[in-house]
Amino acid sequence: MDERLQLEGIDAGYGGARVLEGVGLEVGVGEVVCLLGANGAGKTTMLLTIAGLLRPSAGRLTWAGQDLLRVPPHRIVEQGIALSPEGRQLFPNLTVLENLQLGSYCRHARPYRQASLGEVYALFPRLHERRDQAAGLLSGGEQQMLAIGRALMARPRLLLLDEPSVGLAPRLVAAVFESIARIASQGIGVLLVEQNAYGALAIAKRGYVLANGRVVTAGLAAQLEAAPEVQAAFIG
Amino acid sequence: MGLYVQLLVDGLFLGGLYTLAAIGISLSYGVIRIINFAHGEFVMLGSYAAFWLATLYKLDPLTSLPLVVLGGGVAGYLLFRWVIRHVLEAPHLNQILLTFGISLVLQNLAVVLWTGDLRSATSVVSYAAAELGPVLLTFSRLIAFVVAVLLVVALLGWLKWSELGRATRAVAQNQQAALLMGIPIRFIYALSFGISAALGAAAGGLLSFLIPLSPWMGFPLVVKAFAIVALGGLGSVMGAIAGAMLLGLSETAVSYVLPGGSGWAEGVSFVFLLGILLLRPRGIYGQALEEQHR
Amino acid sequence: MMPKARVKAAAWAALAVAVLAAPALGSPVLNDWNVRICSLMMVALSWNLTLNAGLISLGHSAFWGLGSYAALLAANRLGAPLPLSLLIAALAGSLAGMGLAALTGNLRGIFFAISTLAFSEILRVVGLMTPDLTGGAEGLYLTPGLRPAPAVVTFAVALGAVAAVVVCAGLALTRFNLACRAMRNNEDVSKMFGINPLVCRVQCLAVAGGMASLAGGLNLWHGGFLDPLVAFDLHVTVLSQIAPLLGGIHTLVGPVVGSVLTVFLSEGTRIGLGASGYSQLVLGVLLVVCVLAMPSGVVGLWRRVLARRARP
Repeated sequence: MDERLQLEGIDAGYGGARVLEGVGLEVGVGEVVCLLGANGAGKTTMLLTIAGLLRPSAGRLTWAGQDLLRVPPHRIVEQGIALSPEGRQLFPNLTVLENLQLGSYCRHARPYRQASLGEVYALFPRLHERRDQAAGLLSGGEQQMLAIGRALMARPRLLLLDEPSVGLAPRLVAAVFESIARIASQGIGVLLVEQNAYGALAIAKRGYVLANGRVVTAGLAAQLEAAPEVQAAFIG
Repeated sequence: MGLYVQLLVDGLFLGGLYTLAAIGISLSYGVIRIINFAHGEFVMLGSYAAFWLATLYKLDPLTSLPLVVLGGGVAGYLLFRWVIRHVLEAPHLNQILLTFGISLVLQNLAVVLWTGDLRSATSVVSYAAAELGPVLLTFSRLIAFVVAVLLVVALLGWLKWSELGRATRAVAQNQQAALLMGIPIRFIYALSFGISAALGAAAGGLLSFLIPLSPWMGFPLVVKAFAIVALGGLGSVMGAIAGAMLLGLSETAVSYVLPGGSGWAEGVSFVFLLGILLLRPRGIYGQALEEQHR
Repeated sequence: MMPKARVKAAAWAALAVAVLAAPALGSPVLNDWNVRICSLMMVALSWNLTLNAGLISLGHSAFWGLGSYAALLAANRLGAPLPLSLLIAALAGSLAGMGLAALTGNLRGIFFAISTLAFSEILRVVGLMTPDLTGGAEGLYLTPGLRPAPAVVTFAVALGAVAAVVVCAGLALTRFNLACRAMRNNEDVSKMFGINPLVCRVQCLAVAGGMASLAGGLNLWHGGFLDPLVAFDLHVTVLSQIAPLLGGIHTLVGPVVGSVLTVFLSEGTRIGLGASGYSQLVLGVLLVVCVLAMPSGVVGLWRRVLARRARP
């Protein structure tokens, strides 16, 4: 089956307030797709909807041809979709290792826990050094690595990343983008939400620009870099 | 000198039982954020279960303990799935009144079924004692203490090393993230509530051969458990152990030292409770959690 | 046709007259029901008043017991007649309420609730351990010569209940009520509107404590006997919660209706089924069912029915 994420005509929001209106989007196998837009455009809402934490009021959401709308959030990760959420959402009093182990809680990932640990440590050697530290005591960059690493522990086929570069020093931002590119090269689809538009477009194949809950532009990363909407949103 | 050693030993033994009785409240509050006023009734039902198994089937309360624990766990799990689940999102008032109501129902069910008469069970260890120098060691209390410690250690080990225990700690810390890990939160809730009830029932099983049983024995225990949990920090299992030991020692000391002491000893927990709530209204670990909201 | 507000006022007045006139009939059974319902009504209104400010009390038996003992000691030791002893009881309750409010400061939710529970339990232990004052476990009798005729006591209880309803209705019209409700919704935000939560709590518990203590004092004159287990019985706390919940919390009519229903249900099962556990069992089931199925009580249910009928 073709592992492709497809959203069509999604309406979603919180309580009465509608944030997304008729949004469509697609992510293919091993493809880095970035989702750009100003604050409040609806990027995080989009990720929460895909992860099942938010139920859309209308639209279609399918993954590998399967309807995701009726799948409860704790089952979504079983389907191979993992989210590294905004604000990282680690378990602060648990150790780095325990956080990673929890990442592979879901049934399909548990048998490969040791192998996944090895892969995550290879990607982020710093996590291996600090594996017995409480997650709350890590630096911002390390916490971000842990959040991504924890999502990878679920052996996802699609990784949702919510602003992985936020609050990091420029040197670390480059390292994080580099590791995302490496993850995608292993055949994992990545949907990347970013404020750092140029960093994201540099590693993405395609991108979408959201404004006021609608997709205003979509296309190949190279085209988007020059698009007036992107210029306007992030430079002007 | 002998008196002080005796006091220490007795206080420690009492503290062990209190730990077992209180730790369930700590666990269910830590994970589900619900204060269970019916927890004492699990203790009471555990005691009655042990009593009836001893009376009807000649099972020693120590032998029947595994059965009692299992029964308590299943009862707690089902109670959560059928009743408690419905007030998870409700205001505090509804949660408090619901568990209060359940407590009232279970208490009076016991009155209706088994009357309010005092009962007691005996165990093979009931009448054995040994003198170690100036200290009198009652075997029944010693054994109850050892079993309580074993159960508490088992709980801590389960939380620390098992897959589900780790998931339980994760849910206690960050529910949304736990959901993202694929942890079925509602199941973890029900499981924690079940384990909490099982530990309460275990305390009851041990109490069945130590003190007289009545349908009303649970409520004073639950207030003591609150005191213990408040002393140690709501939701902290290690804190609950420290709080239980402190309460056990203080109660024993009061009953040894004051004239008419055992009556005053009943008040120690309330004074602790009020004191700790008043002196550290901001500092209590649990209050900080409370305001974080679920 | 009269306007709705006038119909309501007339109904309340008729009810008050009926309750106040009933003792004149001199029926002991009627008097007993009257006392039970009216004294529960006072405690229930008092509990509802604290809840109105967002404070969940699990310690109303403390006020009840304090009031009973204050009235008893005033009568036995000082020879105070019924009205004076009741005044002393109400004052004792008010002072205790203010003290509790000052002590608990900014404790909220479950922490305030448990503090009140501990407060009430401490009083019970102290009562048991100070036999010189309270008679200890053996209890104390009201000096027999002091007791007026049952009809007089019943009238006093009825008057107390009417007064409690009037006080609650009056408070509902004041700024104090607004402050309480603001505090209930969000204490931090209420501060921004110039409400001092501590002052508000002290005032609220002063009124509520006085009301519940008055009920306790009145009940002493009705029963004539007291021991710490009866005085500080958790049962009073339980009843004071069930009645408003059954009737409908955050309303005036709720606790009133709820008290009537609660007494009928619990006394009914006690008389009908005999054995002691049943009436409490029924109360427990009632509590659970109310929370799960109708958290806004009979009044809420009634309003929903009306609303449905009003819609075409």
